[in-house]
Amino acid sequence: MNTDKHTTEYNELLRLIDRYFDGATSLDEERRLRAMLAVCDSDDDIIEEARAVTGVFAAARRQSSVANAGRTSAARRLRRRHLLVAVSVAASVAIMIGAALSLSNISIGNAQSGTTIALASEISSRQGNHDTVACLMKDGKTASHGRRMMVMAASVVNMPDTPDDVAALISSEMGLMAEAQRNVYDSVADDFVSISAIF
Amino acid sequence: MKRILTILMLWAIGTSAALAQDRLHVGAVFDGRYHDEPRASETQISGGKLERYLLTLYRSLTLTDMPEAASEIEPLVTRDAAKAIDREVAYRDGGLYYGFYQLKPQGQKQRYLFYLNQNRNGGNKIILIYLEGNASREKIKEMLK
Repeated sequence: MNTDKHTTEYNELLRLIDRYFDGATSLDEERRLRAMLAVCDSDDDIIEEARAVTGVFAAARRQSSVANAGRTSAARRLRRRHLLVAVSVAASVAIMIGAALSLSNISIGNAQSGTTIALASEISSRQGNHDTVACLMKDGKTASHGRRMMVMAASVVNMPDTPDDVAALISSEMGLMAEAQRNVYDSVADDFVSISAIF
Repeated sequence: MKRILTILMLWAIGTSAALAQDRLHVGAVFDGRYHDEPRASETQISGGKLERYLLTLYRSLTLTDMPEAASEIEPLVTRDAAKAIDREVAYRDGGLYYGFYQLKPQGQKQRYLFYLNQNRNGGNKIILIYLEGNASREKIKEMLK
């Protein structure tokens, strides 16, 4: 059925082409001829010749370029969306890398807190000896039985509270540095004395 | 599209790496590795307690009778010292004996590092002190008097 319809339309097209070239077509027939030439997929010589003469190619190109423009803008939108996704992914990766580095970074300003609660320790016991800290922990699982655990831990970071403790600690440690510096300066002075003796 | 994504990923990694480079290697010494060591003493002071010294952070580690620790700490000090803008150093017995370094400031924040290995001069302590604050080099030197 479709084949018969196709053949009928093709025959009608050929009839219109003949009448066109004979100068016998009306305006309606010419419009119908151009429409049929635009959609006809035959590449017979007579069909191509008719297309060339009636200018159907130009019209078909205009229709094609409009369709292409629509497809191009859709493709452009899709590319823009992909770019946005790519930028978002890259930004997320940068944030995650930065966060991971910050967490793993040993920041000198942050003291590592232990799992125990440190009691205040004497400054004098800090000199080379470990501070023993004790913590009483109630075992949560056996709270109903009233059990307690005592946990002993070695030294954690000292954080002196009072200005006197701070001054004493800094004086002690920087005092050792000062002594070493004097030692170095004395060595330098001795070296200069030796050099000047040579000259 | 693949090229853009690759460039963006490389930029992200590079930026993160650049940020990481501002951190000090000696920071690893204060990560708690000596918390269980009875011969180690670690101190941190920050905030208002250091106002009189024009400092905001004082962090120190003292290791007594642990000469072997120098092999771990000295390379870290040396790496940070390479970026120091001023330094006073002395070597004894084939290694770093004393070092005072003024590190590159972070914005307005001055940073200083002291290192002493008494084991190279008849003593028995290794001391590492890190300072942060607005104190000038001269002010820090006054702390040594």
